Amino acid sequence: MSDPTSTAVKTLKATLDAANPNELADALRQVALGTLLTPVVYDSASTYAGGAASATIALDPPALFVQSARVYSSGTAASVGSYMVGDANATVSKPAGGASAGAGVAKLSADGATLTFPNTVTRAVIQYLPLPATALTDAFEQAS
Amino acid sequence: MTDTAVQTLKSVLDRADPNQIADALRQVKLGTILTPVSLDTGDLTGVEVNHIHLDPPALLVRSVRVVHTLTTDEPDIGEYLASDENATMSAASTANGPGVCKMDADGSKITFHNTVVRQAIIEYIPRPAVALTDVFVND
Repeated sequence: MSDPTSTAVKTLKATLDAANPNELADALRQVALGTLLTPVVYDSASTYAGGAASATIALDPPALFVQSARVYSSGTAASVGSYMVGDANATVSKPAGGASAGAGVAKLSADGATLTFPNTVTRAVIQYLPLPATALTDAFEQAS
Repeated sequence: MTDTAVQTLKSVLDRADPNQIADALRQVKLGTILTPVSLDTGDLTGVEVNHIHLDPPALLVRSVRVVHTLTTDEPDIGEYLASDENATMSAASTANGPGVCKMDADGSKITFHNTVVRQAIIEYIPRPAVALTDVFVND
C-alpha cells in the first residue's frame, strides 16, 4: 500500500518553471543566475602551468554552452587552431587543411565537464557559459 | 489621458519589479531554458530530408551531427556549424572539416545542403516559452 502522505518530488527545473513567488528566490539562488550569465574564459595555461599535455581539458565549472575552443599550442603543430564543439559522440578532428587553416572538431562530454581534442594540447583557451550551480534535475529544497 | 507604454515581456524581465517578476519568469519557463534539448531524429530511411524541425525552437545550438545519410558515406556525415538563415551551406568531410547548415531566424528549423539526411542529432538550448517581444500580461 502506498504511503498516503508521500508527494511527488519537485525538481529545481519544475520550480523555476512554476515561478511561485514563495520559492522563486531560493530557486534562483541555487541556479546562481548571475554566474550563469557571466561567460567563463578558461585558459589551461593557468591550470597546467608546467605545460602538461592532455587531449582532455576539464571544465570547472562545467559548460552549458561553449562559445569557442582554441588550441594555442600542441606537440602536434597541425592541431593548433579553432575548433567547433560537437556532442559527446562526435568524431574529433584537427583543423582541416592544417594549423588554423580551417576549423577542427572537439567534443563536449554529456555533463559538460570535459572537452576532448583529437591530440594532446599544451594550452587551450575556451570560452563558455557555465551550467547552473545546482543540477536542474535535483529535487528542489527550500531554504529554512 | 491615462495612456501607458506597452510593456513587453523583455522589458518586464529587465526591470524585475518584485510585483511582476514571478509572473514574467513563469512565462519564460527558466527551468526549461536551462535544460538543453537533445533531439535525435531516429532512422529516416525512405523519407530522407534536408531539414529538421526543432520543437521547442532553439535559442542557441550546441551541436549538429549528421549520423547517417542516403549514401551512407562521406561527404555529408559529420559535425555541422549552425549558421544564420542566409548562410551558404556546405558538406562535412574529412578534407574540409565541419560542414555548415543554417537555422531559421525563429529557431524552428535546421536546413542542410542537400536531401540526404537519414539521421541527425541536434543539441540545443530552447527559446523562452513566450516570445520576449510579446506584450506582458500579468497573471
